[in-house]
Amino acid sequence: MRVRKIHVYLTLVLLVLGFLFSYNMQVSKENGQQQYNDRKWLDQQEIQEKLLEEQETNRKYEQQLNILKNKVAELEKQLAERQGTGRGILKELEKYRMISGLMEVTGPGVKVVLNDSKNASAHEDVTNYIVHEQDVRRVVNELFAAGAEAVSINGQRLVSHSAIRCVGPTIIVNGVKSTIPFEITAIGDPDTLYTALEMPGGVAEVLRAWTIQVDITRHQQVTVPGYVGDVSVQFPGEDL
Amino acid sequence: MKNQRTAIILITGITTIIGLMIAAQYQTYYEPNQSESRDISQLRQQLREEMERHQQLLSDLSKYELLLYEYETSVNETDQLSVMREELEQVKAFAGVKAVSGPGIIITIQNDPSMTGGPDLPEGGQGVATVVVDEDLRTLVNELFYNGAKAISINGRRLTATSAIRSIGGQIQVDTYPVTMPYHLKVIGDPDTLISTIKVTGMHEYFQVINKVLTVQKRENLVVPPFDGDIEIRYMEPASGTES
Repeated sequence: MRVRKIHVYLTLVLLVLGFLFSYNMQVSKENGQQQYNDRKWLDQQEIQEKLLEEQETNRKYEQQLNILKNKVAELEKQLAERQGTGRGILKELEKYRMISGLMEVTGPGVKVVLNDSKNASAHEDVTNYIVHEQDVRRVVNELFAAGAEAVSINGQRLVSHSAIRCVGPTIIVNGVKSTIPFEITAIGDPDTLYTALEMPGGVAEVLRAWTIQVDITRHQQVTVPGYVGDVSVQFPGEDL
Repeated sequence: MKNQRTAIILITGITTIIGLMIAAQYQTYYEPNQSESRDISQLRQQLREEMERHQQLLSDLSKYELLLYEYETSVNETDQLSVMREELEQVKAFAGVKAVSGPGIIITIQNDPSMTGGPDLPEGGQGVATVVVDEDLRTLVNELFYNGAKAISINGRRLTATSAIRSIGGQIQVDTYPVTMPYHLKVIGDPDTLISTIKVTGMHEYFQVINKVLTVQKRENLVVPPFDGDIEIRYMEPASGTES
């Protein structure tokens, strides 16, 4: 009896051991896979390094751009101080730089945060419960109709030729991608902007009906960044 | 008795080790694979974004460097003033308060002549679905801008940075101006790219569903009118004061 009991245990243990060994063999056979993973890891390191490098250069460029913009503004101001006619032009220049989105601006306004439905994946028809580009456009459209003077989506200022495009969970504004949640910042009368979105049957209500998370907050001061990118357009009478 | 006890201890030890080994193996061979590949695609995307931003920043830098150079090399104040005036015109054109010209296309959306009756009027249940709504125009305009359009006007109403296209009481308004059928869109941009964009995105079919015909004309030189009206600034102010 005593001896047989041990035998049973040993059999079990050896069985498991055998399985483990064979499993191990299999795994080591997939050594190629392992090497592939190693290479991937190296790739990842490389990309990460490149990313950091790129971020660093972009930060430098941004600083450079700000310095340059300030220099230009300073020159223009000096010129306007010396020349009476310059003052009028400078005023106009500043106005249209603000309107067109070339300048960073601040003022009262609202912040709208859109996010996919918390349990979007639980629904059979997932697409109904995530934020679409039409939704973002509708919110932005309402904000403009309510008198928003400057709007940015995830830090990208909307300008005269901006497009809003979604690919999966990412949004592309001015050719720059960012991911959910989408934060829309708008400058204008906070109450008017808020009511325009929150009115009965309004955009917020419709989106919430699909359990999409809509969070609208009023602020005394928000900042909307300036547009970075191509602004060149031709106009009649200009030979370019 | 003693023999059995040692056996039990031995087996306990062995099984514990086996359990740990299996757990360790499972972890090392399955989990990291998935998360790594997800990380890597995320990283790639981030890198792409940064590189795009890099390009944008460079083009902006060169633009302002040129402007600064022009200011500094101007011989006298009159010259500097004209540089400033030129810059103002460029900014105004970009803002949409000045006419823009260049090659482009004209898009016309009108009722399908082969359809009898006035499909624009909501007659009966079917009529409602055959009206162009704000969302349709917004989608079209967005597609065009996404593919490089520089300036667009709808029935002579120029779209600015803050333009809204809305349906109000069954009528479409661009900002506060009502626009009605047929719709004429003047679009500045590379004509071939824009035309293929309209084809690829299925815009013809999109409007065909609601009994509308979308036609495109290519133009070597097109003028898109300026925004009609004054844009007033009431709430925003330059933020640059906080930087310097």
